[in-house]
Amino acid sequence: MKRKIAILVTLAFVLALVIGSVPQHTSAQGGVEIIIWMTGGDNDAIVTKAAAAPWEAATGNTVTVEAVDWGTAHARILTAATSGEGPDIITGGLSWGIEFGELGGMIDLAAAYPDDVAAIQATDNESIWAAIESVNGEVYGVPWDLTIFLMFSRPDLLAEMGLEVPQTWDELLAYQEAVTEAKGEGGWVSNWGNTEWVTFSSFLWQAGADYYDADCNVTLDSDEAVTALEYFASLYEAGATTEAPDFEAGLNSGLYPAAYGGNWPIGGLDANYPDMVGKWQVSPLAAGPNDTRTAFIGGRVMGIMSYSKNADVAFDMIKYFQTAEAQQALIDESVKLNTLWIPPQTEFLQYVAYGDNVREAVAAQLEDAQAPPNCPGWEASAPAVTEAIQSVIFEGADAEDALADAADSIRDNQ
Amino acid sequence: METAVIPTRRRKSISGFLFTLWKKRISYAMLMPFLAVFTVFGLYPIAWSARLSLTEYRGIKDKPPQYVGIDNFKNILSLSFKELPPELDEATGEQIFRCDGEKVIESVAREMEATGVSCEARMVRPRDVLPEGHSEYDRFSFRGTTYIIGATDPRFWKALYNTTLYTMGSVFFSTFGGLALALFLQKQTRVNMTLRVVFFLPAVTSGIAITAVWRWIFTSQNFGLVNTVFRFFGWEQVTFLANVDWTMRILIWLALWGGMGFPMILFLAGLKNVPQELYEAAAIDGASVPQRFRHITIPLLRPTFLYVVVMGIIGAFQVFDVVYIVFSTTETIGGVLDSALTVVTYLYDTGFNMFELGYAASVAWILFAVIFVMTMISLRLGRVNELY
Repeated sequence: MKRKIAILVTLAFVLALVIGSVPQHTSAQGGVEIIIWMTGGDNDAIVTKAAAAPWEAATGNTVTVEAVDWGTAHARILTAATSGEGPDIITGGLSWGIEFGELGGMIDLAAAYPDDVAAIQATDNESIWAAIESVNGEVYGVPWDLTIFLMFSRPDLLAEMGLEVPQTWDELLAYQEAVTEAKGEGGWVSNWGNTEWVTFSSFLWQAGADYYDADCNVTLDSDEAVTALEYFASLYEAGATTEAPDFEAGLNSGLYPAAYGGNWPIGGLDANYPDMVGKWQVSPLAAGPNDTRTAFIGGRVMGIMSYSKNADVAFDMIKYFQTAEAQQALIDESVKLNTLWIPPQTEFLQYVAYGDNVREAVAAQLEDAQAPPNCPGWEASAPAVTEAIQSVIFEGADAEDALADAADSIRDNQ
Repeated sequence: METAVIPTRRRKSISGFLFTLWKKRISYAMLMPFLAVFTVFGLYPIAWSARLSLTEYRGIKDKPPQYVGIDNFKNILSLSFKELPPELDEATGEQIFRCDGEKVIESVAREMEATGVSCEARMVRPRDVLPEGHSEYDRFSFRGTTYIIGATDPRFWKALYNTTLYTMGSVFFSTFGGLALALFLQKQTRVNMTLRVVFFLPAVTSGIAITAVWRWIFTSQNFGLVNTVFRFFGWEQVTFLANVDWTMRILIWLALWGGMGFPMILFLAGLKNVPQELYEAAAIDGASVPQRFRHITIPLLRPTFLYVVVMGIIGAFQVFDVVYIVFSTTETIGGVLDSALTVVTYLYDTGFNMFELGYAASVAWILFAVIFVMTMISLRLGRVNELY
């Protein structure tokens, strides 16, 4: 009897070992946990988790989303890439895919899943792909969402001052001078890198200039770029604040009755400032000398870390997020948290929330938008551009000299 | 004969060492946990950092660090010094001026200046005179000639300059502010005890939270306290956080506000240790109060001074959180025109934003060397071993 019990116990032990040693995480059978580091805030993580629920139910896999704030995300992802431990998927700034990818930290999705990536590219906003696809054609992350500059304004307050929403550079400068004269502060401002290259980029492109040409030759020292920088500096000379603003409060109080901002405040404006309901609007930026209203377009990419053992499952989830069902869920879940979601797929822009004005302004501005460069060395060069801009604004440096120096720095980094 | 003796001695010393080790095994065993932690979290990272500083390493596991010798240090520290000649017009040979945004030759500039237009002489581009790979760090004029300082890494020198300025300002003001507080509050009255707690509070409060509050105080937004006061008095608004002239003042002010409490406590302890008999004897000899302070208090507080200054220098050179919270944005870490960039924030930017981990490790070792030298100088100047 004792011998039988011993045999049974041994068999049970061996069986347990065998079962335990069988891989439990296979893409075919489900049961895989996909970990996402969502650069942004808690709301982004909540929205993503909720929108992923149908995919989880359909595949039997699970998604764990961890919010990582913008300030620390870059360093944390680098640490994960270095140690080979961390999430399967990350999201981050548009340039992060190329940055981490070229260091070997992320999977080239265009090489691993060429047909799927081509299909995603075909439906997405064209401008955004110019920023996320490397010059050699690698794609280390596909667009997750879009962020775009818009003109936020308070027509009611502008009317009180006898002004209208500025439509051209001349009108924008005249508006700034009028506000400064009337109030001594406020007017135009940018909530997305005030006095920095991000805000300046829109003016640069509106003047018909660019950082590089199509072959990544540096063109920042062109006459058009000088025009853009001189005009940009003139806004601050006319009284625009050089500090990072409390944008929403300023729009509410009338400090900034017309200003440039990334789209993210839109979702919370009515909820946080009930007195402003129905009084604010968004529209495309003022047109430059080229009669274009080109706006800087940003957003996030979503890519797979090269050490991930669940790359196929992770990409399956990324593909799910390209569907109408997932994008509608992202839009709806975002609205619950007073957040505006702009899908990267052009065909889904019709579902953008927060009313016709927002939907039309976003769609119109996305028609004339440009993403940051994807040329080699750009990330290391952006501070030199900001330095050039600030040397003109704060120290009165010659715009031509400042841009020539910045252009040389960009060339050094190539 | 000697060769036969040495091994015996060595054997004896080894056996003696083992015997001592065994005899004190309990003590050493109790030290082991600390030694393990210190090795893993102290010695190993230091050794790894030293190795990294001699490599080019971008932080991805599949690409190991590439040995580059002392190239990182050369790139960080290389400086050049050149005369910057004026820019001349090729056709006329006259110097070019910039008047009201326009480039004109000198004769035209003089005419324009006569009508009230301000003109500025243009120099050739720094890159045309500096060695290859060098960019302008700073320029100055001496006896009518403009000179330029070039560097392979001007941002490092900017960071070092800012950090040195911050260290001098913050250590000087917190040391003497702490001493002044200690002198005012040394009597054991209830009011003084309360005030001591008040002044010491910043030292035991979360630095991050306090710094965030200071950011709100200095902002030019509607809720900025300082500008609200300015508005109340009808004064012009100041964009403190985006103004090169205010950056260092704000940093030093924050260091003074949060850093006076600790020196105050140390000086209070130091003042208590000064024998009262010395003051009494000096008073009988006719010494005035300032004379007693100069010849008794200050000399006897020298060890406290030295400790406060050395610790202040070490802490100030490593400043990071204040800059990061008050002045950094999503795009830049050192504030407007890097006016708040310090060595540690530069190190962070290089390592974790630019992925130059080997280069960042080199910056860290240079920072260590600077702090080491500054501390040695302080110890030497303080002559801590001199007795009174």
